[in-house]
Amino acid sequence: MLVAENLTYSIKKHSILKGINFVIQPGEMVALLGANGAGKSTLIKMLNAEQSLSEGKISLFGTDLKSYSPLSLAKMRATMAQHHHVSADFTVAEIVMMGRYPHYNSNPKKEDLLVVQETMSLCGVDHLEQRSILSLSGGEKQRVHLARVLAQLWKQPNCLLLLDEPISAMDIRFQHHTLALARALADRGWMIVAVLHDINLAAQYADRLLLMKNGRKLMDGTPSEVINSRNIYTIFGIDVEVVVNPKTLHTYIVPKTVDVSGCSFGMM
Amino acid sequence: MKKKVIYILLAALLLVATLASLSLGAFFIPLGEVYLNMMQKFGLCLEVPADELYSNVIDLVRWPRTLLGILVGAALGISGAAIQSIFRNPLAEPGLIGISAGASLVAASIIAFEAVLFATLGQLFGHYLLAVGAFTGAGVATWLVYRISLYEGKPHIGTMLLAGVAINALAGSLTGLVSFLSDEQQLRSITFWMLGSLGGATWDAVWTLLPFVVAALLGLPLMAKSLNAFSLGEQEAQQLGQRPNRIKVRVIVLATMAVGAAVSVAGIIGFVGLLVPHAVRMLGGADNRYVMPASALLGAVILTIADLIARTIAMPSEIPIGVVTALLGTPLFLYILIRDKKKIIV
Repeated sequence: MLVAENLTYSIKKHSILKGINFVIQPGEMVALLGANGAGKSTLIKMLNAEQSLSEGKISLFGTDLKSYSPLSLAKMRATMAQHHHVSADFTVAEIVMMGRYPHYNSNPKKEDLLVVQETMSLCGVDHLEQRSILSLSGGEKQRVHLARVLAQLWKQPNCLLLLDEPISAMDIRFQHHTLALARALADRGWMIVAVLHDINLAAQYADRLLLMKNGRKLMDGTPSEVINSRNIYTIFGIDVEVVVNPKTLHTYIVPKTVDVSGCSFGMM
Repeated sequence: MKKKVIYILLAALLLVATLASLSLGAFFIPLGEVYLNMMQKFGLCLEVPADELYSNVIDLVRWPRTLLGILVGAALGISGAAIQSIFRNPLAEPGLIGISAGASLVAASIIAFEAVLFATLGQLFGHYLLAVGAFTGAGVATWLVYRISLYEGKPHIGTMLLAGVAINALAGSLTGLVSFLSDEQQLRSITFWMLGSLGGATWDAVWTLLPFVVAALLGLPLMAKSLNAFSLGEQEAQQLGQRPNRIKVRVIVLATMAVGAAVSVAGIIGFVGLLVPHAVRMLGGADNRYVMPASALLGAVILTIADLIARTIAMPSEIPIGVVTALLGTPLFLYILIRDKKKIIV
C-alpha cells in the first residue's frame, strides 16, 4: 500500500506540489492526468524517492520511503522515466539486463537471463536483442526501457511501478499492448501509477484517474466519476463531448475542433 | 566468446610487446637471451649460463622500463574508461578533471625554481621531489575541480566538466608563466616533462607506482555494473539501487591516484586515456565489465609499443613518448570521430 500525505515540494518559494494526499492499494492502476507543467513528473520523482519532499510523508507498505536502502527499494519499486538518453553503445539485451542489477552481484544467474528473455518478448523487443540501443526508433527504445523496468520487478509480489509517459512514442498497437500489460500486472497485485496524456486510454485501462492542476490534486476517482466535460475544461481548457460506449460502458471523450481562425499568423 | 578472443589476443600482444621491449633498443639483445632471462626468473633453465652483460641490461634497464610502460598504460587506459562512464561523455579523459594540468604546473615550477624555492623540500624528498610534487599538484587540482562541482553537497557532473576546463586553463596559463620565467635549459626540461618519457625508469619508480595502479585495477572493475547503470543516467542508476554520488567519488579518487602517480613518474602522456577505451568499445561492446580490464590491457600494449618506437626510431637519442602516442592516436581518434559523427551530433 502506498500512502501519500500532504506532499509539498517547492524550489526557492516557487511551489511545485501543494498538499497532495492519496492512497493506492495493491492491485490498483492509477493514471495521473494534467496539463503540461502541472507537476505530474515531479510527483513521480517524489514517489520514487529520487527527490525529497519539502513537506509531507510517503509510506510504502507501512514504512517511510526514506528509511528504505536504495537496494531494497530497487527490488520493490521501478520507474520508467519520460526521457532516456543512453550514453554508451549497449545492446538491447544488455540494457534489459540492467533491470536485473539489483538482484545479482557480479554475474547474472540463470533466473535473471530467463526474466530478461521473458520481459523482452512481452514488450516485443526480443527480435532486437543484439541491436544497439542507439540505433532504435523512439517507440522501440521505449519498449526496451519498459522491458528493463519490468525485469527489475519481475516475480516480486508486492511492488510499485511508476510509468512517466510510457507510451508517448509508441504506435497504437503497442500503446494498448503496454497499458494492457500494466493492467494485467495490477490485477496480479502490483500498484501502478502512470502519467498519461490520452484521457481515453487512461479511462479504458486505469481503475482511478488522478487529475492535477498547478501542483494540486483536483479530482480523484473512477473514470466514470471524474470524466465530464466541465472537469476536462477545468484541467485542460478544451471543450469535449463525453460519450459512453454502450457495449463496454467505458467513458470516452470526443474533443471539439479547436478554432484558431482569429489568429492572423503574421499574414494580413 | 568474442570477448574471450579479444582478451587472449590482447594478452598475446602484450607478451610480444614485452619481449620486443626487452630485446630491442640502443643495445640489441638476442631473443634467446631474453627468453633465458625470463625462464630463469621463474627458476627454470638455471643450468644454462646467461651472458652477464645481457642479463644486467635486461634486469637493470629493460625490465623496469617495460614494467613502467605497462603500469602507466594500464593506469591511463582503465581510468579513461571509468572517467568516460561517470561523465557520460565520450570525449572525457582523466586530464579533464585537472590531473595533468595540476601535475604540469607543479612539475614546471619545481624545474624552474628548484634552487630558490624548493631547496628544503629537495633535501627532504631527494630525487623524488618532482614525482611527489606532480602527484600533489594532480591531487590538489582535482580536489579543487571536485569542490567547485559540489551542489547541495553532491558532485554535479556538468559543473565538474566546466570547472575542469577552467582549472585546466588556469593551471595552463600559470605553467606558461613559469616557462616564460625559466632559462633555456629549464625550458627544455619542462617541455620534455610535459611530453612524457619513460626514460627515468628505475625499479624504485616501478615499486612506487605499483600500489596506485593495482588499487585502480582491482577497484574500478568492481564498479563495472554501477558504471553500466550510469550510462542510463544518474537517476536511473539510483532507481536501480546504486548510490551515484558514492560511485562518482570512488571513481575520481581511484583514477586520480592512478593517473596522478603515472604522470608523476612518466610526465604527461596524451591520448591513451581517451582513445584506448574507445578502441576497446569498438572491438567488443560497451559493457564495462569487459571495457575496463580490456582498456588496461590495450593501454599497456600501446604504451609499451609507443615507448619502443620512442627510444628506437631516432637512436641513440629518444623522442618523447607523448609525441608518439599522439601521432599514433590522432588518426585513430579522427577515424572514430568521422565514423561516429552521426551518433555524436544526434
